This record gives sequence, structure tokens and C-alpha cells, in this order.
Amino acid sequence: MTDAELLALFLQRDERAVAETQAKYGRLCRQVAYGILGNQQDAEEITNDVLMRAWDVLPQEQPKNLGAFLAVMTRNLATNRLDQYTAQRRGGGLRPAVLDELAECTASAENVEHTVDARMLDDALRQFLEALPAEQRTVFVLRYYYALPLPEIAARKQIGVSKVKVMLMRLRKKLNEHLKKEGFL
Amino acid sequence: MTERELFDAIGRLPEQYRTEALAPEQPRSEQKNEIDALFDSASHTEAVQYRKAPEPEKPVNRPDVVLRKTAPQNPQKSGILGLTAIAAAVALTVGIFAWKMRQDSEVQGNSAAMPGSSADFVQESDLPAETVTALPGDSAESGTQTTEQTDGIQLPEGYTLPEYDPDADEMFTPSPDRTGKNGGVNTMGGHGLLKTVSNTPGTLILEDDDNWYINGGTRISKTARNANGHLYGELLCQKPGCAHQLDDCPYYSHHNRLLSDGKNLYMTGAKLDGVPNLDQTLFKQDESGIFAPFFSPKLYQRVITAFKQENELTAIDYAYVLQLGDTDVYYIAVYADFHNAANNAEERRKFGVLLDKKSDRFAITLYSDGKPLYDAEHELLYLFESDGNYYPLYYNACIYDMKQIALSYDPEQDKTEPAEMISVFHAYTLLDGKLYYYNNCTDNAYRLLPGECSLYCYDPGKDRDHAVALLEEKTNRMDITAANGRLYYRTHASVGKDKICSCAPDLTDEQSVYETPQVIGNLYPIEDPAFIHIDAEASIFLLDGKEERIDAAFYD
Repeated sequence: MTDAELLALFLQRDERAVAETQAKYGRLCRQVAYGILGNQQDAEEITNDVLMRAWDVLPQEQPKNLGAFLAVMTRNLATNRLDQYTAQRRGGGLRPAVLDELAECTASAENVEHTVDARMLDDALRQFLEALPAEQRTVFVLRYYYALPLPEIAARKQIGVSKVKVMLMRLRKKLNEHLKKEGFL
Repeated sequence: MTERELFDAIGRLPEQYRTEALAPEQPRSEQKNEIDALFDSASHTEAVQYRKAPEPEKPVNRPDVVLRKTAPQNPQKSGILGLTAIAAAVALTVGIFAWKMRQDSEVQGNSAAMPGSSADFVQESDLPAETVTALPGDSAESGTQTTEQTDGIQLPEGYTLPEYDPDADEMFTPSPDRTGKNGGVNTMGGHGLLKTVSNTPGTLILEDDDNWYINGGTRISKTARNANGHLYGELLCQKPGCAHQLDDCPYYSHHNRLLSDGKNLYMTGAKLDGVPNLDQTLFKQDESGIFAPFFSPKLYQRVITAFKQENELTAIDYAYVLQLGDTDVYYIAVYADFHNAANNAEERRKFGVLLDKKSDRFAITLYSDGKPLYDAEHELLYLFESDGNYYPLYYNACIYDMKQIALSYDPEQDKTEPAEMISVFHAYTLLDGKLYYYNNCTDNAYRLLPGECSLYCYDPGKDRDHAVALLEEKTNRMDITAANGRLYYRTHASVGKDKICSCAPDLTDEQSVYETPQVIGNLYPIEDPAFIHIDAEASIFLLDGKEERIDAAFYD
């Protein structure tokens, strides 16, 4: 079923919309949620929440890319839950693997924590991504925005897992250098 | 700044990046259906000749082909660029610049059109032989084609290479060695013939008299040792100032890849200024060391025509090439990218081609995600998919008589929850005409899930018409390869308890070969009885026959 057909079902308030969306994008949502929360049950719950919210908002929203729309929603909900767990000290020291990887980007020899202006950081990040070839940029976003597992990224990009790993390793190194150059580290 | 702040900043990325990353791709099931349709549809099957010996007469249907019905098109996990050991051919290509070329006739334009119809797309033998090597835009009817031949590559007629500028700072010349026994060129910079040691998904290992070459990026000297007496590795790229990044380092370029089937070397993705569509031609190294056109756009365009594909072809890529024994038949795994002008999106088709070079006829078959294997004794071509559910198998090397068998696999045995099971790795090898293979499931952290690995053995000599799994056991084995009449495999009981073991073909006489507290990655035999394994951090280790680690080298 195409996105347009799915959106039409949502617009018509046809309950098949949820089941069909689940069939088409449920796996993506679970992967995004699992990548952030690392827990299958949480991933399922977040996915269900996303579908419920989609049911509520999609008649008004007309996203160009339904998959991206749902994945973004999933990331936001999963990140919120991660914050809740952190605040409640639940989850057994829960920490997404992508955070460990991003720690390489923020590593600094000076061991001094700078106060970061969020807007400047956003600009620096955009600048960094803008300079990347499309393939590297999308691999970066798939991993660190959507927290997708490497095999999934490899499958989407039609490249090998080992290449994804090497590419991400280089991108982290490059981002670390970029952040240092921009004065964030 | 903390990693969480960075993670949050990434979370505020503009919509354009988020959407770009998840840009709609053609559903894989549709790709599968299109390939299946070639077999299913009468209008398409009439374009494929299977049964008859090479005859230029009208095509015939092949009603007894067993069609693929059930398997979902799985993610292409580690196939294409995993195998893509990159690069050596960059050296070759750049080296070509050094060999000054005459500048003659004007380059013909790029032809996006697809000549021929689906009704005759396997009738390449009807064409004059010389047209087989023509590139798009060639005047195939001219019949007066000559070829441009340099020391390392053979170009079709009409193509001109740019003048070599010896003063260009960025020029990287590999100083090709011409002392090879066949008079060919060692494009890696060492001495002697380049030979393929390992060609498996993710790893291409070549060797010559001096070195091993890992994925075109690392060179490990066979003789030079460091202060500890260990062999050492170094980056191949000697380009001054090169940061060895993916886009600006010849050895990490996406172009100019070498493929190997363990016997022949193939080059794909060649790019030269002024030569349109050269990257769409598959080259094969001949006995003199020349890379000559092997699978031409003329051929694949006729394949693509069979897909009724009307969009613009933008790129072609080859994942695997395998000569079936000493026959003239080759299996070629192809990717074709198209630009769909209607929705401004790129679409990818993947398919396999069985090509009979003698007659230049071919048939479209399944794409293999993993490295294809050929058993010459039983004339069996094994094609693997990586979704863990399906093991297709074709038999008979002749493209005119092929049949598919699915080796049995019981998905009910897989107790892993879908969200937990992130990937399935396959390992397979041939020994004494039997196929041994595993399927391994891992979790999100790529840890092997305990007890979720099964070992199968398929003996075509015993049960040729009924592919079954003869052996099965739950074990923590990953990877398997054969050498010296024995099976070698690695086990992963838990972190810090990885080891390489060997056993007899009947799985008796198990011996421990090597143990390490590190995670052992892929395992490849390089010379009996030495191995290379690559660990999870992309470090490369050589193991000698004395069960000792003798070196580590790194990609970076």
C-alpha cells in the first residue's frame, strides 16, 4: 500500500489505516525505538503510541514522507521515555549504544566541559552534514538520528555492514575534528 | 560538551536531512516480484532461452523451471560493497594516465536508450562478435571496430583518454611492476602476479610475491618485520597529503573495484575523464594482464529491457562474478540504478545473470546476497540469501538447464523475537562435494544469541533431488571454512571465550586451533594452514600454522 493510500485511509478515519501502517512501518518504528531504549517491550509500546498519535494527527498533517514522519515521532517519544527513565533512575543505567559512539565525537584532550550554545551547535552540525556526500550524510542520520542498527543501514544503503562501520568510524572522527575546529571541544 | 547534547542537537536536524535519509526506496518485495515475473510471465519467459543448446532460433519457454515463490527479498546485507574490496584498480586506472594515449576520434555520446527488445535480449550471439564489447553509443553496425589497448586495459574503439599531466600534484602513480611471469602488470605495487587469496563478503585478500593486500587498503609485508619480529601492515595509499577518507583516497574510492572469483580478476566501476559509461562495463583480466571488456552495456541493456524498465539508467554495479569451474559460464550479480523522472527518485534493481561466454547468451536468475559457490563435481551453483529463511540452489552449470531447490529450513526453530534478532549471518563452505553452512542470529549488539546457530550439511551426491539438511545441532559456532581436508570454524561461547577450532568432515576429531580474549571476526584461509581473521574493530590478524598470532594491522 502506498503512502498516499495510507494517508487516504487516515483521512477517511478507516481503522485499516493503523493496521496497514503497522505492517509497513512498524518494523522501522520498533528499530528506532529499540535503538534508543534498548528494550523490546519499550520499543513495542512506543510503536503503539506512535500509531495512536498518527491516528490522531494524520488527518490534519499531510507529510511528504510518511516513514520519516513516523520515525521522527518515534525518536521523540523514545527520547522522552529515555529521559523519564534517567530521571527515575530506572532501566539499569540505560544508555543507547549511539550515545557511546557519539562520545567519540565529543572527546576532548582538554577534559574541560564547555557550555554549549545549542543554536551554534545546530549550525555547526548542519555545516558538517552539508559538506558530506549524500551517502555519508544519510548513513550518519540513519545511525545517529534514527538510531538504526548497522545491518539495517547496510540493507537500506545497499552496502556492506563492514563498510557502514568503517564509514561511521571515519564520520565520528571527522565530526570530532569539526567540533574542535568550531570551538565546541 | 556531552554526547547527550550532541545527540539532542542531532535530534534538531532540519527536516530535509531526516527525510533524505529515509527517502522512499522501492520496496524489496516489488524488486523480487519483478525478477520473479521474468519467470512467471509468459510474455517475459519467451525472452529467455533455457533448455536448448545455443541456437539463434526463436526463444522457447521453460515450463519446468522451479519458480521462487516464498522467499521475501531480503536486505542485501553484506554483499555488494561488503565484498568490495576497493580499490586496487584505482591504481590501475590512474596508472593508465601515465601511459600516454593517443587522442583520436571523438567520444561517442552517452546512450541512455536501450537497444533491442525483450524478445531478443538473449540473442546477443546474433550480433557480430565485435559488438559485444561495444559501449553505449557505439555504432554497433559499423563492423569496423578496433580496440585501444594499453599495457593494462583495453578500451573500446573511439574512446580517448586525457593527456597525462606529469606535473599534477595530486597524481598518484603506483609504479606498476612488469616483472610478472605473464608480462602483466601488478597494480598493487608489489612484485609478481597478483593472486586472489580470499574473496568473501567484506574481504578481498590478494597476494603477490611480496605482500598480502587486504581490501585494497592495507598491505602486509610477507618479510618486513617490526622490532618484535612481527609482520606489519601499512596503508597502500601513498598519495601525498591524503587523509585516506572515503572520497578522496584512491583506496577508499567507491569506484574502480576489483572482484575476484578465486581464479579471475574483474574490474568494475572504472572511471576515466572523457570516457562515458566506462564504469558500466565489467572488465576481466586476461592472461596477459590486460583488463578487457567482459560484460558489456550492450548485454546488460538487453537484460534491463526485459524488466520493461523505461527509466533512465544511471549506474550499474557488479557484486559478484563467478566462473563456473572451467566452463564458459559465469554467474554475475548485477545492480542497476535508475532515475525515475516522475517522482525524481532513484530506484535499484538487482538480479543475477548466467552468462555463457561462448555463445554470449544469458539467462536472468536470482540475485545472490552472499558469495556464490560452485561445485564442479556435481555441477551445482549455490546462491545464498541472507534472511535466514531461504537457501536457493540452482544446479547444472549450463544455463539451458537450471533448476532451483530450496534447502530445507524450519523457521519454527527460530525462537528469537523479531525485534531482538537483528541480523542473521551465514557461513558456508564446500568440502569434498558437500555443502556445510550455518545460520547465526545476533542481537542489537551483534552478540551471537545462544543456541540459535544451526549447522547443516548438504550432500548432493546422496540426495540430489531433495535438498535437505542432513545435520543439525545447536551450537555457538560462527563462520566456517575448509582447508587441508578439514573444516575450520570459530566459536563464540561468551565474551572472552572465542576460539578457532577444526574438525574432520564428519565433525569428529575436534581440535582447538587458536583462542583469544578478543572477539574473532571473519575467518579466511590464506595459505595452508594459516588464517586471517578480522575482529569486530576491523583489526586484521594473521595466524600462522603454529597457532600463534603473528601480527595485527589496522585499516587506519
